[in-house]
Amino acid sequence: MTEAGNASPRNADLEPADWGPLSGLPSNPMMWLLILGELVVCGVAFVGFSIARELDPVTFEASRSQLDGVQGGVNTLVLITSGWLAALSVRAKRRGASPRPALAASIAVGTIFLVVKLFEYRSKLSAGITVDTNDFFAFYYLLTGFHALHVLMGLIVLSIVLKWDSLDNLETGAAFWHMVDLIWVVLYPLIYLVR
Amino acid sequence: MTILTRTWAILVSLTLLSLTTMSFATSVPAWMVNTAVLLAGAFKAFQILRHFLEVNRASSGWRTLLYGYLVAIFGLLLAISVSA
Repeated sequence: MTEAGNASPRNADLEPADWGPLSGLPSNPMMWLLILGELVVCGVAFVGFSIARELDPVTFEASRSQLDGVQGGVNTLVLITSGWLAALSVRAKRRGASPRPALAASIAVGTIFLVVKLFEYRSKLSAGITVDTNDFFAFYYLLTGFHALHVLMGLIVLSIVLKWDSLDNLETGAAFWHMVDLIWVVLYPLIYLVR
Repeated sequence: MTILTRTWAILVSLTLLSLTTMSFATSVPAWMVNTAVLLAGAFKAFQILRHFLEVNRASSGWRTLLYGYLVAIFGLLLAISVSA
């Protein structure tokens, strides 16, 4: 096959895909589809939790007071710091520097979240508080457990990106991690602080 | 200080403020505590959306939709918690 014969399909491969309205979003449109879906699902769950609390305020407040707000606050600081480091890694790559130190630090700090969460779950379970205790703790385990699974997935994604650190991979992995961060800053006050 | 670092400092400050608010929680009405922590949460979510998820680089339509969604969710959460 001639060089000219190869030019056309190769050029076609290099053309950016038309994502329609999703092209107006920063970074990978497929990741944004996931983010938009997660935001809708979590939004509905958060409103559902608030309505359930208004239907049984006494049980919900008594249960909330058994949570450790400081532990939740520490985990908020952990996720915020990890998200900031992930953002710094993307910026480093854009500037031609190595993104790996900041990304490795982001993963290390992010891991602390799961350690704190495991201690929190162990403390609750050893006190006999399970998903069947009442509606508040059903929501608590469901929402924080769903979020913790996303943290675990995010750490796996960031670890893969650490190995294959193209700008597109970094932006996509960091976007997922920031979504996890975004959901937590809503979840934390709603479950741990609001009376 | 870069925008990213300033955003991180704001997020940390608001989190510490929310934790401090908790210590006064018994001496002030619940609606005041709820409003303070939810507004702090809304502002933190806005900062993450804008600077970490870089929605400030998105088209105006997406910015309106995403910021509007944030306002709608926090508006609902605030309305439900304050109406109690």
